[in-house]
Amino acid sequence: MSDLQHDPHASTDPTRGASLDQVLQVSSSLAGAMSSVIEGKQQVVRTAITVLLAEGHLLVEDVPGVGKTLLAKTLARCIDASVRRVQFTPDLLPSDITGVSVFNQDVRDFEFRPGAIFANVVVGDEINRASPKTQSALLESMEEGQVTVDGTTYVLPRPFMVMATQNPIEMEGTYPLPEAQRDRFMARISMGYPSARSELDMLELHGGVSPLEALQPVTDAATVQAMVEAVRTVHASPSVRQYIVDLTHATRSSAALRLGASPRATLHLLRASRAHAALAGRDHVLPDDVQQVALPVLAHRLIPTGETQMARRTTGDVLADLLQRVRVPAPTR
Amino acid sequence: MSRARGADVALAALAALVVTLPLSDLFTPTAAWARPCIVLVLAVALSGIGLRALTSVRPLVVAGQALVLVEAAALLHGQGHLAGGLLPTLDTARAFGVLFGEAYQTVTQYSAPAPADRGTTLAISVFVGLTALAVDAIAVTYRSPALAGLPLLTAFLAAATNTTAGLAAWMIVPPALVWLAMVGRQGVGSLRAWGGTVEVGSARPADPAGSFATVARSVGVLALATAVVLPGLVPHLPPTFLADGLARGDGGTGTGGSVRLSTSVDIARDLAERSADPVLVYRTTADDPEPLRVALLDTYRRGRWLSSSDATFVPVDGQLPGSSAGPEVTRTTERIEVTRSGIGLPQVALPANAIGAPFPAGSWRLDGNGVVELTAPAPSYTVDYEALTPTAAQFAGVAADLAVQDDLRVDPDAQEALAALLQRVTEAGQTPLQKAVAIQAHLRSSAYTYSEDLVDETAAGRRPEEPLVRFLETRRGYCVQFATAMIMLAREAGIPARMAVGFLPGRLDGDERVIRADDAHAWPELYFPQLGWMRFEPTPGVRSGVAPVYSSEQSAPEGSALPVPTSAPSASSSTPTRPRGDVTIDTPQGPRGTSTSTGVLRAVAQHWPTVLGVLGVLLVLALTPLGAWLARRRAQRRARDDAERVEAQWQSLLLRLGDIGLVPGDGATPRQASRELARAAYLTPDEGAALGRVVDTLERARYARPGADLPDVAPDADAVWRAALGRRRRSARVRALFLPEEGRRHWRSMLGRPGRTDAEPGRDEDASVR
Repeated sequence: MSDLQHDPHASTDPTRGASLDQVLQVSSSLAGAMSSVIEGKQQVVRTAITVLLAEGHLLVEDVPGVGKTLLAKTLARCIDASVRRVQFTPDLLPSDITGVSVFNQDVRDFEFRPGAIFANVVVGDEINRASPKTQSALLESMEEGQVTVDGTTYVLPRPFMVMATQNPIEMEGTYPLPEAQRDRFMARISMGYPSARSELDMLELHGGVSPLEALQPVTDAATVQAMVEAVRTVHASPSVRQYIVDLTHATRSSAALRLGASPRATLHLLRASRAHAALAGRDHVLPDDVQQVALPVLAHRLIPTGETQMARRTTGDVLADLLQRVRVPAPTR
Repeated sequence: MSRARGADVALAALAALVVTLPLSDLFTPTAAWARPCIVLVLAVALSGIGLRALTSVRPLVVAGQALVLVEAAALLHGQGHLAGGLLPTLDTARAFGVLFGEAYQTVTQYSAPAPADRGTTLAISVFVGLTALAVDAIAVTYRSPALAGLPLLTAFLAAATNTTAGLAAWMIVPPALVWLAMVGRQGVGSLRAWGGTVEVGSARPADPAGSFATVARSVGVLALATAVVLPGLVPHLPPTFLADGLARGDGGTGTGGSVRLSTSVDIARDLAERSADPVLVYRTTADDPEPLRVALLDTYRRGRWLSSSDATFVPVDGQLPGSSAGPEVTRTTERIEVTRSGIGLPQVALPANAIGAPFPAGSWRLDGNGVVELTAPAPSYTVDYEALTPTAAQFAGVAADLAVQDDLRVDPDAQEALAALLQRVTEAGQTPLQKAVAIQAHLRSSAYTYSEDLVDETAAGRRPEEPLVRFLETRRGYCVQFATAMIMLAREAGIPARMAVGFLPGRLDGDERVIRADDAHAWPELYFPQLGWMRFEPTPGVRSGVAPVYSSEQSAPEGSALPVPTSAPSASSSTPTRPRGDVTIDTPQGPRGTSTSTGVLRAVAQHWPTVLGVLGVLLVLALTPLGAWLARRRAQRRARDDAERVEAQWQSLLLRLGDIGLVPGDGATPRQASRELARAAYLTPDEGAALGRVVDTLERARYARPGADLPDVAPDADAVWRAALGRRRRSARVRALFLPEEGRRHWRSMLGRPGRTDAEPGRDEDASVR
């Protein structure tokens, strides 16, 4: 992805150039700010920003202590927007997330008290520790950007992004995310351990005052919303759309997978590809963009067959194979 | 490969048939002998297939084929001499013997083309059948097609050496191609046999024969081209070249090419086209120069003059002998100074009675007739000679020397005609000189016509076999015929005579005389005891020599003979339209020193088959690149918008890079393809940037909104291609230049055949696997 970062031949379409230029400019300052806290994780940072611009939700999955929460908090802090952090625990109730109607003695009526979800950026820590009932409270909000409590629908602010973290190793007292829930996340990323060099830098950096504290927002909610709007205008040619459909179809027909990608995955893939192209300063999507985002966007939605698991192949491996096999369609105009 | 090996058998049979092509010039009608040949070749081929299927014992197969060949020949030619109408017997063998005898008669009697009678048809078909058997046995049964070239070459040479006019250069091409095809098939087959299974993990199956085949193809094509081009460029060697010895043939004289007179003169032959190039330049003190003599021929046999003497000696005193006339004969000493001689070793042009020692000792010798032979080149020399002015009385006397008895031999076939003619021309009681002058006058009379083209038939429609008799009856000929006639008539009259071959004195050019190749001439020399050998000049016409004074003075009293011309052409003799000398000359037809355009044109005219061949080869070589160019132009023309134009340029670049082995992965995006190509082609950053521009434009053409700004990428694409081409091996470069896939596809699509790929050209790279 790094080779796309400074695309020297970025198109400058005069009608939308300003917007896309702004996307490029803001996103690079965003990435710079985040990288000052998250050492040596450009790829992760970039995917996070891609998901933000694509109006998606991000699932950060990794072992404890690699900075999942830090990533979520950093992104939240870089944007001058309302940020809520929810620590998911087994006793967390759905109403804690969505909000609840309480009886107001003064006005003698029920009054809605918004839950943690009413923010531009919601950081859901250890999401798999909450009960499925609570997890599913997120469903409507993540998909539709709205919350319905007691028959009343409340629209969530824009932009809206859920960043959830989860720990895949710890099985005790966790409730794995149901497929429907996972499918609502646009991308899943793993932090991975930092390199020795980055870890050394980290010791130096985090030894004194936390850099997160010193971090200043580089943008605000309105700008991000404008960027999202700009990304929607990125052109995806018919052959690129065909390629995306070919890819998701290939996951469904693959013998190595029990569950393929959903139509929502197709949609997410297109949006992520657009955002990725916009981050490279391009006003059109290349098949290369699709390939770059396919793994984080699709891998967590797929369920491997028993044989695949026995062969110790992950869904990521299967996806890599499919990317090799599925040919880029001929340009059609 | 099965044991039947149909394609190999077909090639072997084809080869045997193709080498008989030159025979079509030798025997007519071709159809008469071609059919039995084909039948016998087919019999050999089919029996080979059958026998190989039955047994793997190779000698048995060959023996069986031989039996089939004999049986087939017997059925074809031995009807009426077969047991039960089927099986050959001793009687068949006897009949064949008779037919072979007839064939021998035909071949030895007729000059090409000979009639294809029963005998020759049998001989030819058996010859071709045996060739087919040998080729089939070696190439197919014993699987050594390379060795099969030997019988093929033998058969080809047997036919080629018997053509009188020489074989067209291209005649070697069909047999050579078929033979190369046989060799190529076997080579590829055997290589595939041991390499065909190793292809683990490789994306495209490697053809083990591929690299060898490439080398073999290059060698084959090169050899073939050389075989076609070389004979056209190298001058045609004279037939006697090898026999005379290569070292002696290499004259190395000062002028462009050297010239030698043929030392065997065929009097039945028409004069060939000859050049007007200067042969000799000299100055002389004589007012009335003599012809310069090069060789003496004393033996006449079956229409040919030869020199009987092969002994050579060096005079004891190291001096040229000069005239054998007695001291009482009046003489003047003249001198010629040759400044440039283009006559090839060992010949040298000298006046008849040369004296002194003009050449360094050890570089010359005399043959039995007293003719000088050089052993070292002498491009310039000065020589004195004696010019005799004898009186009529000095011609008296009868030659009784034993040494000249051989020079009295008259050809027995022509004796009758000669005696009759002599009786008409001379009278009894005349002196030898009077007889000689009468003969000369008769031959120079208007009864004879100078012509370089001989006729075979007399006015009465007869075709005399003996060339001299034919001349005496048709009365048409050139100097060789006139000289021969005079020599034979003189011999019949009892005067020893021989033929001198040399050059007329040539033309005056300033104070020098220039002899050209077409000044070559032949004249008789008659022997008189007191004088030795004296020159006469019976040939009429412009280019004839000046008759010696002694012969013309004597002619005056003869009322029957016309006045003999001295230096002007005789009014009575028919003047040849193209004046030229008339002795056959072996002139190397190599490139001359002149570099004018006429020289080039003449060279082209002379070597037109070669020029055509070279042009053809060039055309074939240019065909595929031309197709590639046309394909590019067509794609550009058909592009409806900029995007399609860029797309076409990209596909063209991919095809061209594919020609030199640079193929991006299947289904790669343009960006991935460009990365792979840049790595594989070792592109420099600049060239990589050019490729980047191409790919960027392509991406915009493919994926951006229609109407994007798309520059012309052809210059960048060409730069990338050239850079990649420059870093490949030469063989790959040559293949890419001459056999571009783009061109091949173009011609395939022109021919209406679908290409290798199912998709339309240029789209295959992106075809989906769905």
